[in-house]
Amino acid sequence: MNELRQIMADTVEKLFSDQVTKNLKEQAEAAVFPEKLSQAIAENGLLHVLVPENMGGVSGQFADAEVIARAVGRHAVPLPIVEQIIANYLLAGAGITPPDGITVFAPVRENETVHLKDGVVTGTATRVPWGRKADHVAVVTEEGIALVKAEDYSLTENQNIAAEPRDTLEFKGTKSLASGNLPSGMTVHSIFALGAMMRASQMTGAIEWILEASVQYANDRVQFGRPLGKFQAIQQNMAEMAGHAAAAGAAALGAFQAADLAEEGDIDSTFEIAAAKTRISETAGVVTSHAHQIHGAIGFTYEHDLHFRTRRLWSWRDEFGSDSYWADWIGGHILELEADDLWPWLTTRPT
Amino acid sequence: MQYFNFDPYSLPPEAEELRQEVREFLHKELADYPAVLRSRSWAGLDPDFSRKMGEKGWIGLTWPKKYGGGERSFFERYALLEELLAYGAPVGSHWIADRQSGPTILRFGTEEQCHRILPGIIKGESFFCIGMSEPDSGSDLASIRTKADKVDGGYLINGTKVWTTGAHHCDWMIALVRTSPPSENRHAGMSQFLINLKQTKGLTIDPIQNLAGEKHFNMVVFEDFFVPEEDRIGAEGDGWQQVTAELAFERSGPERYMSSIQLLIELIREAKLDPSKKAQEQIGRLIAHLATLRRMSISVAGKLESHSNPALEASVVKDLGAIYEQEMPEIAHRFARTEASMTAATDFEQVRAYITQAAVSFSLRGGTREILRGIIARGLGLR
Ligand SMILES: Cc1cc2nc3c(=O)[nH]c(=O)nc-3n(C[C@H](O)[C@H](O)[C@H](O)COP(=O)(O)OP(=O)(O)OC[C@H]3O[C@@H](n4cnc5c(N)ncnc54)[C@H](O)[C@@H]3O)c2cc1C
Repeated sequence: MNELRQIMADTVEKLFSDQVTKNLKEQAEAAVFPEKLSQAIAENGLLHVLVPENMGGVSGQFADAEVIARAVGRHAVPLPIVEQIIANYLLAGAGITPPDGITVFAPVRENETVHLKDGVVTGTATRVPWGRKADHVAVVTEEGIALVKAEDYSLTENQNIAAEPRDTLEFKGTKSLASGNLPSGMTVHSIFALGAMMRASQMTGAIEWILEASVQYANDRVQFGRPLGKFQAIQQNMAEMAGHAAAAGAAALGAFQAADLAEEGDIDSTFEIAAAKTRISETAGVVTSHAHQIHGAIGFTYEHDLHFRTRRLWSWRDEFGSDSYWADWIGGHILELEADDLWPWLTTRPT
Repeated sequence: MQYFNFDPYSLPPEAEELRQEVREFLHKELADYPAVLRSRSWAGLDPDFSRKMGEKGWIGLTWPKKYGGGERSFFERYALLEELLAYGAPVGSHWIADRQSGPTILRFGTEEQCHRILPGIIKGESFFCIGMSEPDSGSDLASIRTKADKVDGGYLINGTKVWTTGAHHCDWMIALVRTSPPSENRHAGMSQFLINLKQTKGLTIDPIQNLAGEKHFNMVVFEDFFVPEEDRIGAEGDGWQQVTAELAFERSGPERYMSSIQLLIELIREAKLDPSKKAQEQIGRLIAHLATLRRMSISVAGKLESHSNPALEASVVKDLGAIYEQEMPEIAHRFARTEASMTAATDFEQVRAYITQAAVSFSLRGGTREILRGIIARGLGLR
């Protein structure tokens, strides 16, 4: 890990360990916004990790953002952190200085088209993360990126399984504050893929936490006079879970690494992102099931910390394209190749 | 807390150069090699092919030059293996010698043994098999009963090894046997020996047909079989430690997730003829797994290159690889429009017939799923 990345990792770990308490997460689910934490994150510059220095950012790489996204997942931070990182990145790429306050981006779903014409935005974006808390939205359209103010669109509240806000935004001829081209080399779909990439990393963070908590619980909980972890059936399940978790970690890093290569113009990173989202979403199913099995009834309570991660995994694996969406995307790409070209093609991909 | 280390590695340019060279060689050598034979992967046998590999310098690629090796990196070797497996080249004759027997001799053998044995392996002329399992000792390898009794100038070996892949066509076996009776410490009292399979006195090798009709593995019986002192590998009593290291080599390569790749290739060919959304999605999912396993496997090669112990990570990749490879025939079955058989009209159905039968062994050979998960559980601190 390079120096910037290590500093970033230490900063987020400290901040989240101190502040993202169970109480804070419960409160957030009861609609009490963690204002103080949100500000602390902004003050640390974390949200501008992908913004160039000349626009007030840190000119970081995607792999730096990965460190943050993973910690967000690990600690189940109830804030639109990765969404703000992407929004600020897109705005900066479009030549618009990211405004103060919370900026998220929309649409976040395939086949939702919002149009931009002469600086005016029209269309509907559903399931926008934390739409209700945003001061601004970076609207992604085929025609470019537009910055709009929260007061200028209508909003209907909605949420995901983990009670994270996922709101509907309606733009009925909303006048933008500023607009610019899509960042060079990007399309509406590749921006959707960026969302998938962030979720892949968040999921990996949640999976790592769940694995550790499960191993810990297996060592602590005693039944039949022995810690659960001494029973072979439990060991086998934990091992299976750990293997899938390791695959998740490898796949997530691969996606971010490819995204950095893409930024340098070498490749298109959609495949690595698709592979990561597919692989990790599948891991989420295995890991949540084993984790709840080992934890028994206590893990099924709202009181226990486990559900903050498992409910997020169930949500996140659906968001920005489920495993079946991305598997289908990969399959479509592969079926354009000759069968005998599969391997030669795969060996051109970065590892 | 990180239980495993799967640091990413990029293969260096020299590995990619070698890859191209290997690819061209295989295209030339095996242009008409049928798909169903390719699907045998590293179980496919062809001593002539192995000799050609030897001529190319592609056996013992990482070994010291003084024995005829290539002194090249584990990354180059990794790229070489990937290409051989992707092409389904018949590498079975020399595979075990290159993967684990040679490295075991290099690491624990004497200078004399290295000079005597390694050049033949490197030329693709000397083939090896693994004498670990016995009729009553499979997963519980420490319970082996084959023993070596000290006599003048060497040892007499008595006992039975089984499932010995390739014993009937190999020159040598590395056998794990007891040199002293079982004691409190289950892992003490074992030693490894070079067994010269061309020396017929006291040795019976009987092939055992597998469910697919192949004769790959064998029962090997020793009756007062003489082994000279100089054919013991390592010190007397060090057998267990050595075999543990050997198993790490055995489990760490790309064959642990690539041995059913021919079925994936045929599945893609089939899906292109009869495209469906469902097939597309299933293939995409398999590719996502393949790409992830490849990253993890390259990371294990990186550990070999940096001389750190890959045993734990290799177990993870082998376990995940076996799950993945075993799913492949299940998925292919769901998309098949005709019946699988070794005499079917299409490559797809032939390959499917072969892999369907072979796949059940993937989570047995080289350490069973349960044993690997036990190793992983130990890595998690549960045992
Ligand atoms: C194709 C093939 C090639 C082979 N080639 C070789 C070779 O060249 N040389 C060689 O020495 N061996 C070889 N083997 C043998 C292989 O190493 C053994 O099959 C393997 O170690 C398992 O031993 P076993 O078959 O006796 O099964 P057993 O050990 O009897 O196990 C049977 C089942 O019980 C499970 N089991 C066993 N113990 C436990 C436990 N403590 N807890 C939970 N579950 C357990 C196992 O996981 C397995 O599922 C080969 C096997 C195959 C299939």
